[in-house]
Amino acid sequence: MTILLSLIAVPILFLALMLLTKRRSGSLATISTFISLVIVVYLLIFSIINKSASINESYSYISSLGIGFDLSLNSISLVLLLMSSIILFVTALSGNIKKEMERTASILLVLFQIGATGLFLSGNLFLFFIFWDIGVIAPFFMINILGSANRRNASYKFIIYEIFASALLLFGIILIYIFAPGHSLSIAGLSSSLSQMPMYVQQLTFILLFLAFMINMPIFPLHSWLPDAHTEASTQGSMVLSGILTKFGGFGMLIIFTSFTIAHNYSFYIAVLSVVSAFYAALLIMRQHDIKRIVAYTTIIEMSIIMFAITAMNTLGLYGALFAMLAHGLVVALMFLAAGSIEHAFSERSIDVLKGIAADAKLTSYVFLVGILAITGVPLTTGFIADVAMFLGAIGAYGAYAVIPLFSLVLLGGFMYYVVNKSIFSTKERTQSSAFIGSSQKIGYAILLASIFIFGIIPSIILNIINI
Amino acid sequence: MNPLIILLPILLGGILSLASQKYSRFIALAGSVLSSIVIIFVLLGSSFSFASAYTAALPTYSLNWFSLSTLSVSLYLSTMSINELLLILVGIISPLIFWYSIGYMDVPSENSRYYFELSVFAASMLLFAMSADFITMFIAWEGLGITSYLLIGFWYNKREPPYAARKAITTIIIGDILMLSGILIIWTSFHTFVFSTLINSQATQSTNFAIALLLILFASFTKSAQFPFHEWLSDAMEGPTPVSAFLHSSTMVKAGVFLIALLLPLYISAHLLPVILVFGIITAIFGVINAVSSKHIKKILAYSTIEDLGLMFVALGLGAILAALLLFIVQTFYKALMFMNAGSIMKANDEETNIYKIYSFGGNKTLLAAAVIGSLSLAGVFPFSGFLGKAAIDTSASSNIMVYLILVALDFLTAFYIFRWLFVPMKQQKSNPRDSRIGTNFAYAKKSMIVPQLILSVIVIGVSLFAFYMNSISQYITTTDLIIESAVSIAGVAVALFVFYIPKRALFSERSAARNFLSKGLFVNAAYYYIARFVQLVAHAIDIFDYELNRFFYSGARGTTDLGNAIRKTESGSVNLYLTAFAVGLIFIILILVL
Repeated sequence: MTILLSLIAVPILFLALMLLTKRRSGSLATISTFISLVIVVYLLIFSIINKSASINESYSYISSLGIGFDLSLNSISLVLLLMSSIILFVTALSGNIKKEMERTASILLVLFQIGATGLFLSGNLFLFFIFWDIGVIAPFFMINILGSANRRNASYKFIIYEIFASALLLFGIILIYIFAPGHSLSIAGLSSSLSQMPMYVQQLTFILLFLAFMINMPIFPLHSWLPDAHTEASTQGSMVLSGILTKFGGFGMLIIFTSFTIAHNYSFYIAVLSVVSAFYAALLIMRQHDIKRIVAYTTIIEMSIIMFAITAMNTLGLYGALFAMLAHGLVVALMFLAAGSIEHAFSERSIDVLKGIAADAKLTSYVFLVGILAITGVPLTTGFIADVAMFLGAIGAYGAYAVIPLFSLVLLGGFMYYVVNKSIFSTKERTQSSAFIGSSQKIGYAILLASIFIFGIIPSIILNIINI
Repeated sequence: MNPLIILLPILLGGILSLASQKYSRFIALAGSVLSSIVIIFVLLGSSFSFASAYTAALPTYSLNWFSLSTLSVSLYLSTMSINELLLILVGIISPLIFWYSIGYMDVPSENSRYYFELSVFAASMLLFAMSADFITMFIAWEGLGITSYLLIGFWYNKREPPYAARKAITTIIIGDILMLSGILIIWTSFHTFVFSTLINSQATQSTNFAIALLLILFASFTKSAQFPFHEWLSDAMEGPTPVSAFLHSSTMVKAGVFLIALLLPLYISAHLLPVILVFGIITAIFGVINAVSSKHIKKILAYSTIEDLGLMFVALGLGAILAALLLFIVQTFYKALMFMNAGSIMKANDEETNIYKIYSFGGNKTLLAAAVIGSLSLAGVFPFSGFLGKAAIDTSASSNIMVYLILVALDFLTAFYIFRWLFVPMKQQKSNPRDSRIGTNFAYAKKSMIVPQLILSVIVIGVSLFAFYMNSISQYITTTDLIIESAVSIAGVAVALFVFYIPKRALFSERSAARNFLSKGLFVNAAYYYIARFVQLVAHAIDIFDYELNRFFYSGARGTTDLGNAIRKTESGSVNLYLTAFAVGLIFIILILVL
């Protein structure tokens, strides 16, 4: 079987095709992401039927260093892969790009698709690092070339933080390579090779990798790249940045918290830090006026809560965090799509100026409202399942006090409804441009909404894979 | 029969009403009536006994939802005992509300949205009534919260409703998170979400358990508008009147009381009854004080609801669950009636809400009769049905003289303020109308708005007749309390008569200082404001900190650039400098090697 390789090969082929031809790059990107989505859905059905989500493929790569091109699929990567394919397809389909930038945007999107797909499929840390960097470079240009007014500063800030994270990650991986028995970089065998390393190397590696993933997630105090980057990026850029890129870090955290036995020593402090981070972002969000920036801050809150659940280090916490990443990716992509649509229609992002959006853009308004519901964990959306599983895990680990971070959602929800009543469901003040929504964007809304509700009402689709 | 079928017609009606703007009201009404008929069929054959209504029923229906390692979640429904009681109440009220809405809603372009939201709201309440475990209950709970938010802010292009809706949703979201926290903590201790299992499990005493129960209690306070979360309910008057009538009678605000009544055995075993009692009394006092001083025709009724809910919590706090349920039932009918009545009066007065400005009834004897029946019942005058609930609560408090005295005083004031509500606009009728539009439309009052009121009037009287016919009230009400309650309520009515109706110039007028002071709502809103300000201040401080943090990282990056620039200066291209540096470096290396 070469199905995993084909998942990576498809976007590479399409990338080559797009570089060679000059026209129809938007459609090519849509086709590329759609093929990936079909393959992933096939893998999902295949795994549910076979009751096994485990596929491994190995190709020779740099044999002199003992590094192979190992691809591996397990339940965790399948869930994240599903999330990223849905988001990528919707992004390619309906990210309202400017026509003159269509080719650049599509090429960057497919480049990011290679990074994301490869990262979630990588079987060893070497590939993990390579795809990580591809996944970081593509959004940099999405901000730098395609972004809005303040894009340059935002993109440099983004790349400095992310390259710093990459450097830490590289150090960590080199350490593992040097000290692991047989220079094995396999992710699946990470815990066994770690157990044979000296304690100080384990500690150092853990801290290096943790910091790298923490920057990417991001957790306070290393979060300040995110609001700028998400705000200034194009709609497509924002969608993939917060929908998928921040999950790189989450995926990494899942790996290190399941592999490092010494994570127990740090987990409590990390939990405290993530609680601080959640409340910090929930309070900061109240000072924001830019609708994209507001959505960006919800990402920090959600990722902090996910981090908190991961530190519980029990089944419910870890898989709850996984489900939450799926939930959050879909929701935040939806909200950025809606925010992008608002910006596109009204040429304005400030909630102080926007008034009565509901009168002109009914669909977008209600989509935004559903996004808020899903983010605050209302039942029948994916957020509820995620919250229940995550916090049951956390209570199991830390006792009743573990519900405290839930209350950051009160601050978040309270502010989000303030935004809704200020800008969306309020009196229309001036004549605004017509908010025409293209059919491709409606399909985008429909796909994301359907995913949010389907996985929220029938979570067994996802949980059956996890339960295997 | 699968009880979920009950939800089907009403949800279908809601969805179909989105399809047709013109017929949406009839489609939605049909859906609601069908749902009520289905309720009758589902309940057919199950015998209902009020005396055992409070026992937590074993679930009659369950549905597996999802499972993840040790967690497995199923949805449990029940149509027995206490669930049956609420189901019947919602089943009676909801078609009447839909019927009333047909006359009330006169903006055809908004009909679809209105009936869709109202149908989902009613369906959420029906699901709530049937829920037999925390997860099902929470789904319905959130459904109620969101749809009530949408309905309160229904006229979003007016000035006030968005603020009212925001206040409601902020309170509601606090409640949601409190509730979710409580539920999750309970699961970790008992590994079950099912009410009856929890109650029968002889719950152990643990701190976690008490914390969880308190969280759930405060969550119920947010829904049932108990102190300190009660102010959203009076602002919720910005929504369309049928929504107020629905919200205040059988849905939403009853959810919290219902849940606590259901879980009362747990609260008894955790010794938390005094908490419920204290908050109930405080809320009832707040409600009465606000109701006496308010001049908004619907807000007076809203504060009255807050008081009634407070009284129910008082009864629960005394462990008298049947007394609480008695008031629960009778309040449903008279409060729905009163709100429908107020809506009709407002319609006839060009949406004016100040009782000192409107002219009530304008010769419409039907409306007046309904208002009098509702007011007498609300005041607790014997033998109207409201009397049953209030007197039963008095009886349950008879062992606690302090509580008893407070309750009697509240009963007196209740009779007083509701007849103020009735008399002030009636008195107004005699002076000259300043605005020709006000008070002129009574002749055109729509039948669809009047007939539901007549039906409710009949029910209000019928419930007490039924109770006397069954000869069962002596179990809940002693003769002494019967006499005291009657005397107190009639005294209240009499005082209102002498203050507001008989004198030429009304005492306690719109501009009196006492009314102004009391109408501040004892500064609860001011407290909300300062809490919000405080959070904003903290947010501001965090914002400044974040800016400095950003600066710190920025200066790190800046420092690297500066360092690079400084080093770059050495690469000047001057060969002399390079040679000198080379020589110096060579000497250093030799020195190091030698030493």
